[in-house]
Amino acid sequence: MRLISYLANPARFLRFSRFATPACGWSALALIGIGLVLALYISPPAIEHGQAVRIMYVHVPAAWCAMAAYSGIAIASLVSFVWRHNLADSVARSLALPGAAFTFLALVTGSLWGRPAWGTWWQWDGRMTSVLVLLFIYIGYMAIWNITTDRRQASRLAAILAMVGALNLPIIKFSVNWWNTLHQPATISEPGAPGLPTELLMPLLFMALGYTALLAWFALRGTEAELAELRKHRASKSKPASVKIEDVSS
Amino acid sequence: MNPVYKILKRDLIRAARSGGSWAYGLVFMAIFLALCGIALDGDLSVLRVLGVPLIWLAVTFAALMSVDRIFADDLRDGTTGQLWLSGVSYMTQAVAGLLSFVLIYLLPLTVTVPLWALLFDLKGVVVVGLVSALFCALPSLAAFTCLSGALTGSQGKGGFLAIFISAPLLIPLLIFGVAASQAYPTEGLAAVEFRALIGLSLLALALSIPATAAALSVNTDR
Repeated sequence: MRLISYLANPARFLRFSRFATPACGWSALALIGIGLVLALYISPPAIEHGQAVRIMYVHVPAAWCAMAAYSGIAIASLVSFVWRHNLADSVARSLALPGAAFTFLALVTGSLWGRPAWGTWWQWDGRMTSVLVLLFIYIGYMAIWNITTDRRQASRLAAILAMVGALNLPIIKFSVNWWNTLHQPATISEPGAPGLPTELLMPLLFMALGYTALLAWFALRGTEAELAELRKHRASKSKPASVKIEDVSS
Repeated sequence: MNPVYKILKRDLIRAARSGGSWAYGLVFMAIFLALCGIALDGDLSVLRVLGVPLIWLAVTFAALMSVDRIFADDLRDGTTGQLWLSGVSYMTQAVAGLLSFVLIYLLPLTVTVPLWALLFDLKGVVVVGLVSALFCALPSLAAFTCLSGALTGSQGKGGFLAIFISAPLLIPLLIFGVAASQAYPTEGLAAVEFRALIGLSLLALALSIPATAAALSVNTDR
């Protein structure tokens, strides 16, 4: 909490992000690199999934980060709505696109994995449907940012939407799960993390950390860009008006 | 006079004088259901099974089509701000807007359902279940569409975006609504799905009315 209120000052934030942004970016690159090598070459194929298990190393962290990004948006929206803080909605806004991208990635890789594992590209299963809904919520959130011209107004409208969406996500998830069990009781669950052997867990861990660092990089970088934009905007506004006599038509 | 009542009266008079724009949702529903019947080859054995979900879809879509009628006019010509200046809180305006949306746009859709059911050769019990489930779901359908109407109202091209925003929120409604309609013939109103629908409606009202009021205030605050 103290760290957040310390960083709430844009100048201090920029001083922090000057180090943190490249640190996150490079560590994301390194972690994902190591994770990929581990996942593709070193880890063995799983017994029941065969080589297809390697999709997991892309799929599971993407799904985690999709959820993490939405939680981040919801928290930042709350902060921005209550304290009307510029930085908070910059963070929320810059988390939206990577969040949506991770959601999409999770859906696509899930579909690719579903084909060998379950024999189908898509199933109206509780988890898949709710991730798809999450993608729609992300798209709506980004659309409201794009359609509203006034930035302050856009940030508050988007914050309302993000908070309502956050409160509704559990309901959507619950209803979809319930619906699923009504129609189609048994689906193969994913391999649970505690039951995962170390040689499969290690690449997953590296990839997850790498994805998280990438998400942090996106958030920091996006916020920096927003701050730069705001400063440019302010600079162009605060220039004194210069009207020469010749400019005025008589 | 109570401001909610006044706004409601104004909206009703306006709808009555609008030359039938309140009926667009009905027309949309009629066209949608007719197209469904034609696309399914008019085969009554298929239509009888699909009737309930299709009517639910039609009601949801028709409600979404009317989203940009709720607060958009008032927001764009500044009535919302003027009402606020004369002491009508945004909360009151949100409640009044919600009620007039239900009365003008949603009620005709729900009341005419028995008529649409004829197209699908639905049995009497099924129709009763469908209508009662729709009535249980009306508050939350209205609440979520009003919220997205208020969020996008001040923008000229907000209509399509409003559909985008409210569609994910309406998913639980669709799931429980169809399930409740289908459970009615065997279990009656005691079916657990009806309780879920009513709970959902109460929750949606509690959540959406303050959010709608907040969205109205953001949209007038320039």
